[in-house]
Amino acid sequence: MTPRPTSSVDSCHDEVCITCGDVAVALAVVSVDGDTARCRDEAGRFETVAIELVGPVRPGDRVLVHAGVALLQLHDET
Amino acid sequence: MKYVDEYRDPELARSLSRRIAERVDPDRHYKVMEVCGGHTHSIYRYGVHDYLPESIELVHGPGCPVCVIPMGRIDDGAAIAEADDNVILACFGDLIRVPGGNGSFLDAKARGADIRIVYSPLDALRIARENPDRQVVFYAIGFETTAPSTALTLQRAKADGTTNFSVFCNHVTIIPAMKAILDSPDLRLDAFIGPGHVSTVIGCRPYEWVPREWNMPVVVAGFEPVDLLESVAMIVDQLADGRTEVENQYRRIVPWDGNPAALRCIADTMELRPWFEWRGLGSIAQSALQLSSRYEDFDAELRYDVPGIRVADPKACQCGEVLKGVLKPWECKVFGTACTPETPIGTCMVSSEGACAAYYNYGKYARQRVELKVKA
Repeated sequence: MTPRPTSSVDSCHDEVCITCGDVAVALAVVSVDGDTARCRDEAGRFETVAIELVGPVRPGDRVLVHAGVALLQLHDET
Repeated sequence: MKYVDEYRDPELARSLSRRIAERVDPDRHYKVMEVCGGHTHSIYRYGVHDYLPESIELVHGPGCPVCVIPMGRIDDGAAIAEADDNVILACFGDLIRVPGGNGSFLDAKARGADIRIVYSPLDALRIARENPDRQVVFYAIGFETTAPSTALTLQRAKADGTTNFSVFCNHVTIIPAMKAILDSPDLRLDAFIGPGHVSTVIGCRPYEWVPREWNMPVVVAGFEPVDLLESVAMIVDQLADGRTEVENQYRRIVPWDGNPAALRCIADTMELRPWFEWRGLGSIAQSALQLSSRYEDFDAELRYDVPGIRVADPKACQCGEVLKGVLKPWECKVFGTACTPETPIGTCMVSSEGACAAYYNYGKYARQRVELKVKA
């Protein structure tokens, strides 16, 4: 399985295809531009993420992302 | 990701293993189905079986969206891609090698079709904007975890008036598949491990019919080995206490009510199909999504001449039985011989979340380790 490159156009993340299955990843918001956020994963890879489906997010927040869309804002206490 | 170390802690895993062993009824055999392909992958990857008593059998369900796509729908996608030179078909990576009746998308690509792998439907929309003279079709698959990304893409396409983008929708929904499994006479289950990230979208309430109608626990679980062991412990606790209810082991991620904004987005753009064919499970009523009438201009099934022919699975392939949990991957007669991840015959061997590929990639090594240990 090919690791996902920094460009958002390719298939898979680590060992499973996150787009096809019930897999999502936690990313940190780096910057926000309207309905889109630039996010970074733990390995330092960047990804452009649609944020319409979660509440307002700010740099430093963490979101759960699947197929380029944030499904949930993650909170430390959760 | 935060918490990962904690949820892979071997001592915590051993402690849960002891708790499970203490609470199981020694005279009872427990069949617990994980419906999610991500769980299947984790179970094999981390050897979760090794921490469970023999009386607990983990049964793998139909929760890998690639695996449940029938061959005819692959042929339909290839037909769209080959309809004319102007079409670009965009799909997720795992789909590209899934065999149809007329070969895979990779074969269609070799024949000259323009088929591109995308990470997100939004990437397919971007390709459409960059290629205004071409028609871009996104081949959408996935459960409720993925449907919001397709739905959001459709809303964005409509909002900016994109006309050269459409969606071939194959999104499926998990609840009807669980109902079909329970209605099947082939298998008697004791509990479900509920899907983790599907539940971030739909929440936990949609599973409440399972304990109510089938007197069976459902525990929504995370994807780390300790998550899975804790979910089994919660199931065993429920059964030992004489309780059956929906519980949420994955509370750090899954809200009980899901994501209402994502559900609204899906409801705006899609509606239930009367019927949809699932590989292995047959046709299931209201188990999949199609574009709603508000988005019919983006519906590739209306825009293109789709063959819609039902194609029988290869005779040697027993994916259907594997998907229903009736057969274990290694009990299929072509597993690991004619059917491997390099040359898959069935879908369960294509996707990394398919039970056969997961077992082939991880289980085999475990067997080798055992053999080496014995020899030493």
